Amino acid sequence: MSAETIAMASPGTEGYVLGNEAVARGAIESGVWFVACYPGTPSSEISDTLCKLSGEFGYEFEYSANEIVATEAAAGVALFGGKSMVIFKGAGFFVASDALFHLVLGRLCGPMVIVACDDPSMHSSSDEVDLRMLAQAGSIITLVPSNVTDAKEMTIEAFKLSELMRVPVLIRMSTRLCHQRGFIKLGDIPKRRDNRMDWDLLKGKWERFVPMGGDPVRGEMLKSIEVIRRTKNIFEDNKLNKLVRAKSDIGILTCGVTYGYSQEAIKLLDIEASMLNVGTIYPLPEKLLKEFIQELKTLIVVEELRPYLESYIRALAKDVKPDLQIFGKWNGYFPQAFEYDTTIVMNSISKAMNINVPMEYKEIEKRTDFVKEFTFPRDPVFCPGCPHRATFYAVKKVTKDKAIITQDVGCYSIGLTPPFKMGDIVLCMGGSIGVACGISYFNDRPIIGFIGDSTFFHAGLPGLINAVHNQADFTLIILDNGTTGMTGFQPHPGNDSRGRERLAKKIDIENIVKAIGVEDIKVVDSYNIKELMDATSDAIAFRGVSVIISRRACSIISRRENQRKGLKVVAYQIDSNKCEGCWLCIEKFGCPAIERDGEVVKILSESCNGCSVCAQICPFNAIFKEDTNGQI
Amino acid sequence: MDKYEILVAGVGGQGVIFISNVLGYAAQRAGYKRVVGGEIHGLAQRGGSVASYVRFGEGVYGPIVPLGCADIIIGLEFMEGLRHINRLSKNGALVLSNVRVPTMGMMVNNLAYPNSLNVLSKLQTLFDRVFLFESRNTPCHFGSLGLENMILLGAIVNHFLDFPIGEEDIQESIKTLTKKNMVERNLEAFQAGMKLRPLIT
Ligand SMILES: Cc1ncc(C[n+]2csc(CCOP(=O)(O)OP(=O)(O)O)c2C)c(N)n1
Ligand code: SF4
Ligand code: SF4
Repeated sequence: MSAETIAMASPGTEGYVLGNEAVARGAIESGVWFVACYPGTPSSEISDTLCKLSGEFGYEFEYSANEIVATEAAAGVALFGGKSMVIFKGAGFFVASDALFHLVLGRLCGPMVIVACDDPSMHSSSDEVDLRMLAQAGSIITLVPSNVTDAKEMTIEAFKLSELMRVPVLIRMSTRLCHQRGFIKLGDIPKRRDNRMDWDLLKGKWERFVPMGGDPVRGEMLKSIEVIRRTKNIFEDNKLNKLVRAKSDIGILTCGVTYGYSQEAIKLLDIEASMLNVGTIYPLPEKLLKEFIQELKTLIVVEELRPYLESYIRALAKDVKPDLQIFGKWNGYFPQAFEYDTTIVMNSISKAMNINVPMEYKEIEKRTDFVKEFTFPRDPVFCPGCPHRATFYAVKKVTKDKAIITQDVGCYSIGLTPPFKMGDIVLCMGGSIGVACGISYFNDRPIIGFIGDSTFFHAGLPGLINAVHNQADFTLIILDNGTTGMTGFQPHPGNDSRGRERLAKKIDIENIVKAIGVEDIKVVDSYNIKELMDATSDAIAFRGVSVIISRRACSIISRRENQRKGLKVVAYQIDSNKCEGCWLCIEKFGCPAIERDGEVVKILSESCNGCSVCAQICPFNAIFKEDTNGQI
Repeated sequence: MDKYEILVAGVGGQGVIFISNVLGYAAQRAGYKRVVGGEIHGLAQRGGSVASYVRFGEGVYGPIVPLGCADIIIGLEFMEGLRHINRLSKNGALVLSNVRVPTMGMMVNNLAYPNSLNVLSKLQTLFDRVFLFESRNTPCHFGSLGLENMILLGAIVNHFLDFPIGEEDIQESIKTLTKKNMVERNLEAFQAGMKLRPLIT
């Protein structure tokens, strides 16, 4: 539905959209030429929406191999006069930062907008880095929207600002904004054009961009500082910052989603306070902030993650308002970690102002304690028929928990949880290989690295080249399920499609591994337990880097394919006379399509994906395919 | 009513986000100026928990229902409905479905799914308004499987006189948001839900 809402071209209508979709619409209304991304929650709906609509609105869209090549491609377009956008999650910013931190030194001929999404509380990330600090470190002009309407408007503003300043502009989103819904007014969409770079128009504007060390780059650095100074002036008096004065000497300073929480909190607490929500987060509007605190006795700073605004305002206040009383993270009134909500903000303000919260938390706690007994955590599990499950099962059978296991980031991270509990370390994308290499210099136990296909293309290649070259000794298992499963099934370089049914050149993992010089390579079917076990034993015995490519389509993808082709999956069944109730298929294998049913198990035929693996591992041959009576 | 807050919870694949969107559109049709939703669906695809908020009316700005502020919790799965009880207001309604999906941890460790009637009779000492609807196995032309979200929505609209969105607004937004070939099924299930009586009140 959502892409359709965004596509409703008629300006003036309203759509109930995600913050992410609002950004996508903003890009389309700005007449973007080129969008590149590497997927990552919570950013994925921006790029997935833009991929779906790229044909209709005539812009080029690319799922890149990783975030830095995405950034470089978008830079190429903007440096030569096009309008580009690049999208990733917070960790993607780290990967892209080499390109980004250098790009701010050049002068773009067209606008470029970067969208990066932080994830306070780490709902789907393993870091809580505050991108505002990185943006400041790299002198990247940054806007932070606080609701869905803002998300669209700021995207449009970011394109304008980037065009004016000739440097990239960052929109920093966060999970609760990405996945927030609200009504936005849909604006005009520019007429479809055939976008080509116009070399004649570029004459006089284009400057060679080669910020190598020494004087040339020192010159660029000074220009960059000048750009930030001019931007600051624009931000001083700008509708992107919202100031609401109240008859009160209390002020609240907010950023992003904390604006909404703070508005709700003061309403619930029934207090009056002036509010300034800062949307222009780098460079900060110094004059505006000074004016804001001039008339206050008390300032409460409400921002998630690091005390970015607070540190700045404390420094300012020293000069212009030394007696201002400031409440924030520095003096322990607000939490340092995790996302905020109205409840947290209300409690922190009440502590600072020494007033009562109109809520009966004791009561609430009592009720919460009561249900604890009946609510079990619901961790994600491998889908029925997931090829990863079979691979982990087979490797565990062979290694018997004696191997050191380096894991990576993807659906296969679920292998860390019961029943497999396999993985001693997950560092970052591609980390499985580099870490295994390091361990292998000083260790004699078998080392097994697990990496997904998308992750292998993203960050695995340099690690593997390095390990082979340096003669490390470990086994790498590439889990080739033909998709980027974890983030919503986006295509990657190993696919023959690049999204929206456009053809692509498929890059063959086996050939790459061979070319890198790995001497022990096996390609096995993830649904064949015996083959997997044999390959694992052989690979462990081999001295040097071995690679096993465990290949089988993600079962969500194959289910969709089957549905599209009208094929029915034949479910497996239990012969309850043969089942001894050993529970192996549940307790050691954990397919969610298998349930206990009294003394025996049963298979939920509507969930079973027909992978056959439970039948292969059942010690009593009690599992068979519905229509083949007793045989696999 | 100047403000109303809904929390919908369930497991991946139950249509939590879909009914939240239906409610969001319907709230706007019903004349509410401010409508804000929020969702967390990191790994819904892999059988994880999904929860979503729909908030509308005066003074609603952020996407999250504060602790103790939900007017209604709609649990498309029994345990998932219970999980968010800290957000329910004292006078709020807890509406649970009889759909029960054990977690992998429960399966692996052979733990029994809590007995709904036992849990509910205890919950009634803490809340005035606790309801269980048999949204699975509701007589329904197309079968109830996968349509429990529509069935429960029908039951709520019919049963709760203080529910601020009416039948027509909901039906219109179902029509707007559903793929063409599913409209009839969804409306049918919604109607079947309207005939449903709670198992326990
Ligand atoms: C730098 C960075 N970019 C993006 C992500 C988001 N992300 C998590 S897992 C993953 C890839 C999963 O694909 P694959 O390796 O093929 O494994 P699968 O999920 O298909 O099993 C991505 C893109 C991330 N965690 N870090
Ligand atoms: S989405 Fe695909 S890869 Fe991920 S757990 Fe499910 S079947 Fe496995
Ligand atoms: S064949 Fe067995 S393991 Fe595979 S999906 Fe069906 S029940 Fe699960």
